[in-house]
Amino acid sequence: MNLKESVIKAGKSLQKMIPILVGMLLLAMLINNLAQRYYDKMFTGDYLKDTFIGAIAGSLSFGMALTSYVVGGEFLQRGVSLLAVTAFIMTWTTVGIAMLPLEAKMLGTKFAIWRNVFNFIFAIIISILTVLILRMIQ
Amino acid sequence: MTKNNNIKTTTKRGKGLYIFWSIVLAIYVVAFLFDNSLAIKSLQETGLTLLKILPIFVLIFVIMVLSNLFLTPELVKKHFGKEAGLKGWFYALLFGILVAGPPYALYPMLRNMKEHGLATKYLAAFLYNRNVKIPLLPAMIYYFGWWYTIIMTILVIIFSVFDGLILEVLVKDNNVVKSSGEQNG
Repeated sequence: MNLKESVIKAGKSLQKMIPILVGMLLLAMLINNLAQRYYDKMFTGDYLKDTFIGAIAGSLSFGMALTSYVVGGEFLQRGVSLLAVTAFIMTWTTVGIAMLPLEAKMLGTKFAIWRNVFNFIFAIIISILTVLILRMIQ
Repeated sequence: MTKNNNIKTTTKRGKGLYIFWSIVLAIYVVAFLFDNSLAIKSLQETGLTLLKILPIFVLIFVIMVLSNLFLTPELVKKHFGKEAGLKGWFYALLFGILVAGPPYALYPMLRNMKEHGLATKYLAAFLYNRNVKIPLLPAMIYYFGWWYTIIMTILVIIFSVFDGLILEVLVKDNNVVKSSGEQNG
């Protein structure tokens, strides 16, 4: 492949992706801003239920990982369990419901769906393990 | 025949995109009607995000051109193909941790590599390790402490391998991604 062909191929790939990316970003921001309004009301105080809610909230949320730390830190101060906060942080970066159609288009539908399903499950397992190990060593 | 098929695929893709954008616009119209501050804030944040990722896209474009030129299928298969072994895992974990930028910005590059023979297990492990961000570790330590950060980071790296192994079995060759000309999602 020569330089001209390489540039055309790369350009076509990006050209295909950009209209979907912009649309998905618009939807993701809307979902994210809507979800943020209900963060406070979401957690119930129930240890297991809150972990699941945290994981769901993180999956729906979107943005820089740093934002999840700040929001997670605030949750902790308000009395939300570390387990729920960890699930929230984990799914924030590893599960992307908002970007699922784009991921499916670019990397394959089966890959995108299974990856998100397992990342959700792993997020809960990692949260439990993190808190358990932390309790053992502290 | 091939030309007709290409025209059909392009028309189908154009129609899909038209439907998608109609849905996005309809949702925003509803949002404006019910809560315009929410819609305006979301529009502004989308614009800011796009501005932020623009330099990343320029960089990704350059990487894609270079990879088209130099990253031959043989080379990808050797280092990131199914038979790459430990070396493949090492690169997937390392690049997953080191490469910056939001994952969706990397999709075109990853798709390019997938077309060249990148194994599903390394792709999944790479994406999972994007959870470990070295520049963000101080922030995590600040909010949650040293031990929490260390434990979580190690667990993420371990589970990225599980993720890769499971997805390799479930998705196999991920035939959905063929050559860019054939695939339309």
